[in-house]
Amino acid sequence: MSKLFEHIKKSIDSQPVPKKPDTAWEDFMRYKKKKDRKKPFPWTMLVLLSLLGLFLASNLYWMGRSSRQSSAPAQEHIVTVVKRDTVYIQQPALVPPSNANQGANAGIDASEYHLVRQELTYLRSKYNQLRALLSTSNHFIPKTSYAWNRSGGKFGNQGDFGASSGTISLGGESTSNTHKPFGVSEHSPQIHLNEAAPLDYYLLYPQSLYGYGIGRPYYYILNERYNRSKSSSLLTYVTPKTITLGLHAGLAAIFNPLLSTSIGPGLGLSVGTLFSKRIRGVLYVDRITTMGHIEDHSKFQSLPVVVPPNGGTLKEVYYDANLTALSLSMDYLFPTYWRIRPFAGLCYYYNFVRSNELKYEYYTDQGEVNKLVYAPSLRYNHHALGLRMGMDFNLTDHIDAYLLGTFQPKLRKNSGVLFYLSPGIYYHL
Amino acid sequence: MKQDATNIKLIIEGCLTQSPASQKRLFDLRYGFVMSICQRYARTRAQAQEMLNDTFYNVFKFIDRYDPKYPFEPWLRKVCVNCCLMYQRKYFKKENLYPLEEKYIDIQYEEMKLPEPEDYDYMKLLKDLPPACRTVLLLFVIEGYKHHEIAEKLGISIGTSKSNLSRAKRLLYEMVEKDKSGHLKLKKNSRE
Repeated sequence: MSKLFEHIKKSIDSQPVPKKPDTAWEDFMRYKKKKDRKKPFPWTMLVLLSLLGLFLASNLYWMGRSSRQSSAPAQEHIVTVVKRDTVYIQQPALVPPSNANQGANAGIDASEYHLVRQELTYLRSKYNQLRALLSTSNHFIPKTSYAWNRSGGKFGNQGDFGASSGTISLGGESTSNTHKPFGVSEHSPQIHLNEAAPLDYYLLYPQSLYGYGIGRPYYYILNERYNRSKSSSLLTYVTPKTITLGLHAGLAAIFNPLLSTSIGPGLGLSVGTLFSKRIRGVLYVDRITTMGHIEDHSKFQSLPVVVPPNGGTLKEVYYDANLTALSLSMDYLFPTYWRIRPFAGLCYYYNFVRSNELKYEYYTDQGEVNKLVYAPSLRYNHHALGLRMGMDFNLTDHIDAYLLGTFQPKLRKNSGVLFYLSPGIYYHL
Repeated sequence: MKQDATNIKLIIEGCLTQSPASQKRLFDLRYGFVMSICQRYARTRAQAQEMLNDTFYNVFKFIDRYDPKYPFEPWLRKVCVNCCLMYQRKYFKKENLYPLEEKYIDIQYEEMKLPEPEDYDYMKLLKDLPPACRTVLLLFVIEGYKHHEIAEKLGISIGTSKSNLSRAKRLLYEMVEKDKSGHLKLKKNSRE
């Protein structure tokens, strides 16, 4: 070891021992108390992480579910059509029409489907004729639209191909007497081709031609599978499935071991969204005003001490508690029975409790009852977990009624238990 | 001396039962010893006080890990040094702690004549050293650790430990050299 280090060591060893100040032990105890203090449980972080987890899980759920979907015919006479990404509708068998002259305007039935198929076949053949005709002379459709009257059989009324009106006929062949695939003379849809659209466009996208020919409802169903495959981007999964906006009013009761039971009305709003078919997240804002009164003298000590004037004796105390509760609830939706859908969930709530005044009643010396009002402006906040359960009752397509029961257990020393029953109504998309 | 050892043994037995009276007694008895170690690692008295509190907190908490077959002071010293290092790691800036620098010691410094410790305030020099250099120097010189042990304790490489020690040495020499011209006024006589 070098001489420098030896000198340093010698210097350090020769240092006097520091004296202990009088407050050293007290300082240490304060330090110990601070260090021993347990950190509060991170409820907020837990809730946020749960929400994030649910959000991701629900997206995975929808993606997985979508990947498993198919719209293949289940049986010979049953066709499964995917109308939305989760709802399956089984349509009855498409049997050939027994009477071709039955009305086509009688709504969607099995026979119509058969007619649509016939029409499609017919349109394809006509399309090929049209294409063959045009490919020999011109690659573009004239700028004015033309119409094709099925019952008339051709475009005779619109003029001939190459005429100044710019309309096209199918070479003058007559199909009116030989071909009536729909068997309905008054049903005459028209084909409107886009102006100056290249013919290859219709070759590549025949749906654009068939779409007008067969009518939108049929077109929609037949192309549903195509549309669904187009919409399989991630963005469709991360969008909320539905939004709910609700209003409810009810009755709340707070059971506090230090005070008596206080009861009062409450009014609340709710905003929610469906994360998956069974999981719903709802944010509630409630305003509850309760009023309680104490006659038990042993409980007076939990209130601010008030000495009645002139040696009076306390009789009873009235107190109020205004509670604004923010709560975030995760509900599990049970299967629907008839129009009723029960649900149960866990909620994290944050309560702002405000007490405006305490009214003391006391006996005076003369035996009379007198009142004394004291305004303590009591303010405190607390947060904890609660339970929610209730049921939705479907009224209309977009309106549901619901009955909501909230239970906030006593999770802290001297805190009360809250029961809150509130019927309400909500709108959903 | 023997009585003191017996006292300590009884006090530690009391501490094992988390007796506040025994804890206070141990605190009173070993305050100076622990504080003198903490003051070497700390820059200010407040830092030293916090290191001391942390040391006693850990001593009382983990007193059951102490083996009574061995003397108490080395164990207490080890806990204290570890607490000081933990404190440094927690509160001192990491980037300033253990910079890796090249080794360079001028031969002229090695041959320099140093003042005797009785006449000179080497502690003041130590306080002026950067934390990393001071820590490595103290661990090497006072605690007697080898470079690989220091590297393990501080979570640095052996080369960094060596370079910090060299740097500390060079800085100390420089400060002594400066003081020869009366710049730092570290001579005990001159202060008095």
